[in-house]
Amino acid sequence: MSPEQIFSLCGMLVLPGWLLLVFLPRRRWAARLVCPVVIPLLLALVYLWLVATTFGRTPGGFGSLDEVSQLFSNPRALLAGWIHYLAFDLFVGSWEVRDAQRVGVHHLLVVPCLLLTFLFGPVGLLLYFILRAGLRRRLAVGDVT
Amino acid sequence: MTTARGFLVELYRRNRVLAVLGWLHLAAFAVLLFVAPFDARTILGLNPWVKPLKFLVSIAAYVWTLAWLTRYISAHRRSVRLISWGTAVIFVGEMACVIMQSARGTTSHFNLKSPFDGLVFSVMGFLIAVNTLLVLVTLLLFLKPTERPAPAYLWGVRLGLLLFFMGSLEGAAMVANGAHTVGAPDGGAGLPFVNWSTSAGDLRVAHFLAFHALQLLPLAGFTLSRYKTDWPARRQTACVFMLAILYAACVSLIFWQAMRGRPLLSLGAFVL
Repeated sequence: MSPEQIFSLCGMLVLPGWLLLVFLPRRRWAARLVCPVVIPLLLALVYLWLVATTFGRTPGGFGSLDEVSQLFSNPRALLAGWIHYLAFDLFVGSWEVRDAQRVGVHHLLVVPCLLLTFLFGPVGLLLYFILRAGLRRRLAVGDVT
Repeated sequence: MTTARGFLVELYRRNRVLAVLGWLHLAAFAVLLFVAPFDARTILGLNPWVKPLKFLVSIAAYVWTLAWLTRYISAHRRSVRLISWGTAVIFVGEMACVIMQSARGTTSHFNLKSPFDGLVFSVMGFLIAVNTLLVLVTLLLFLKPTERPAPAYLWGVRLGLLLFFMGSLEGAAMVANGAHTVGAPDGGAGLPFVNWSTSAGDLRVAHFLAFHALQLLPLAGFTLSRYKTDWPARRQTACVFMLAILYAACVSLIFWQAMRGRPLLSLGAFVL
């Protein structure tokens, strides 16, 4: 498969995940299994395969922006980087949905955060934390009280 | 019909000066709407009365909104009087300048063609700068309202005033730019009626959107507090905040897009 085909395939894989998060947040299998576990793990396998077959065979590195830029001039490395985004963004999106349910934030307010997480990753997470801090006066995550 | 009448009576009761000011703008609107078709001249390719008509409707909406909202700060009697009369003087002056320049067949903003035109432009700039200060005063007064509406409504008003203030600053950016178009001379092809450029950046779009957040956000807050009574107040307020943040983000994007010389949308893409 060409990198272009893998790119489209992975895109088609995450899109249903985001739709589930927006429209079926209360289904246990959606926000607790499919979106945070099944889809990211499938992406992780693709990522692993791409990195394993590319690592060390392409110039560049992680030491400077210039090296990273060199690394990503290889389409397979670039694709791996993109899949990294897809997997982690969806994982973060599902976390937002579950956390909102746990601390009692209405889902309608989480939807704009999900949209922004999908489009601009960290900006969506930022908006969610602003919302959460405003409603719950709390920034710490997890079971800290 | 009775609700419309009830609204107008209540508006007048809440703030006479601003209610009458709004009526004046609407009366001028009706007159100019009648005059416009009989005027064959053009300014920047458009009927001279399009701009005064746009300003009159927009300002009427603004002063009536302000009239409605001053009720919640009405015990700050002297400040409200200052805001009301100040706003009246400012907008009568502003509209007099815009209408006069249209009657003279020339542009009002960014016009430095003759010393007189430059004087008119600077008078308008001064008036609007004072109005920006009045908006800031209003916003500060709303931190201590004397009659407290529902929290979501109150926050809608505060955030709406804040965005209005930002819209005023955006106007200052437009003055610094010396034109409302970026990347082309003023007066090219544009969207119907508003004439926002379809080929270059147009700073008026963000200006307009930021100003009318003052209607959108208080209305959203009011609607939530009135009809979403099963929601806790905090959730209603969070909803208004979310709306304000997203709205402000969109307006900022539209502003930056215009600063880079890009049109809001190009009609050609739809027509052809």
